[in-house]
Amino acid sequence: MNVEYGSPLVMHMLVLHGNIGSKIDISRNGYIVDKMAIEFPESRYIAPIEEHNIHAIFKWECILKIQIGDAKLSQHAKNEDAANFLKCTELTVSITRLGTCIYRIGSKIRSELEDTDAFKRDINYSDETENFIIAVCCHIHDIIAGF
Amino acid sequence: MIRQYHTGVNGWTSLKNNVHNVRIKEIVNKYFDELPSKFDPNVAVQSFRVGSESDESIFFHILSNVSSRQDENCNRSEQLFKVWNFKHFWIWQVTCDFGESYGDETYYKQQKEVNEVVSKIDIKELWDKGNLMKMHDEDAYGVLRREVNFVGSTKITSIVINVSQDTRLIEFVKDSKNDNVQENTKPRPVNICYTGRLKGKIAQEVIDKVVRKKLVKRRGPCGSEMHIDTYMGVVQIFGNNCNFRRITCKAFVSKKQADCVVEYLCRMVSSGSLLLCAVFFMFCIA
Repeated sequence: MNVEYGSPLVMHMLVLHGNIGSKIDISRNGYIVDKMAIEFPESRYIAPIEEHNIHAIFKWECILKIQIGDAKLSQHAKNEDAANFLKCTELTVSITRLGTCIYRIGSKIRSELEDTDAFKRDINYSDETENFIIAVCCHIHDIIAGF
Repeated sequence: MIRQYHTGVNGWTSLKNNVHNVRIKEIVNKYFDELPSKFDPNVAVQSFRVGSESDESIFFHILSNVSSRQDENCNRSEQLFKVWNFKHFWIWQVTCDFGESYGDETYYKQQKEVNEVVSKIDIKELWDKGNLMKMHDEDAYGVLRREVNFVGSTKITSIVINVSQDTRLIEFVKDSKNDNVQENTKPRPVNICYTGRLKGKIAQEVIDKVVRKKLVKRRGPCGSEMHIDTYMGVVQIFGNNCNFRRITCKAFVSKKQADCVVEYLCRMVSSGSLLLCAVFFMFCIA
């Protein structure tokens, strides 16, 4: 008997790494906090704690709230299958004062739901969905870098 | 940074962070080559000076005087001296920084010696000559506005580090992270984890065969039944549950690569082919 996919691979954690290329003011009253508040009012800011080397953190409960310029990927994200997955996907960006940005994308889908047939019918994680997530991170990166 | 080695404590420890630490780290990084790399804390008080070649002087005082590691601390005070030149006297402005906030400015008048020439003066030496008379701020304000009389400035920083009496060794360590601003790079995936399910029975003889070939480890972490290290990432296959097996792919950088490995794995375990095993071996970290 052949062994094959019972249900396709679905991302549950994705980490991206990038650099701004310069030092950055991540303090509560600093440049980047103001900039992100203007560009992404829906994001939540968690202030850095210098003594504990904790970075400035910005969180989005739903990655779909971030608009990107790529029309094809934006259209893909609106498809029902992709949207079902993306609306349960949150993004956390941590920024260091040396300009390193770590993007953590996690699915809020709980493991007990993964085994239900109804869930499997709805979920569809494709290469395009992954490309959309990466494009969102690149878009945020460009804003932070000031391009 | 400064690190200490204590009697009865394994490994190095560092001072608790406070408002002075960030500045002290900057100073240690800047003057690292002038600092002693190690010194003996058995001497109760040790002092040394760095920055003599620059326009600032930094004095370190290390005192082995506190009873426990929890009480170890560091303090810093900075004084900025600015001097203006007039016909018969020097005017000094001294600004103090004790870490929390800048204090008030204080002004002094210093009588000039007969043969003093502006181009040859050392500001630090000039201050050390003393003979200073405190001035009212209002008196100093008018003359200090004249930039043409400005000679220069120097900064004197005093750092006091109180370490525990059971400290056996103290070291200054350069924090290279502070220098490393990386070039601008677009975000790229460094770690992606996927979950899926496999359908179909994997024959025990096939599992034995791939285990013998050392492609697959039995009983991997997280309760997995099979664990495969490949150059593209790690694959874990979990136990059979009603003809389905949960599969996780960790540390991959794209879905295409994860799909490629899993699909090949499926073909290999379906056929049990030695040739496919041999090809799969190229994916694997032996």
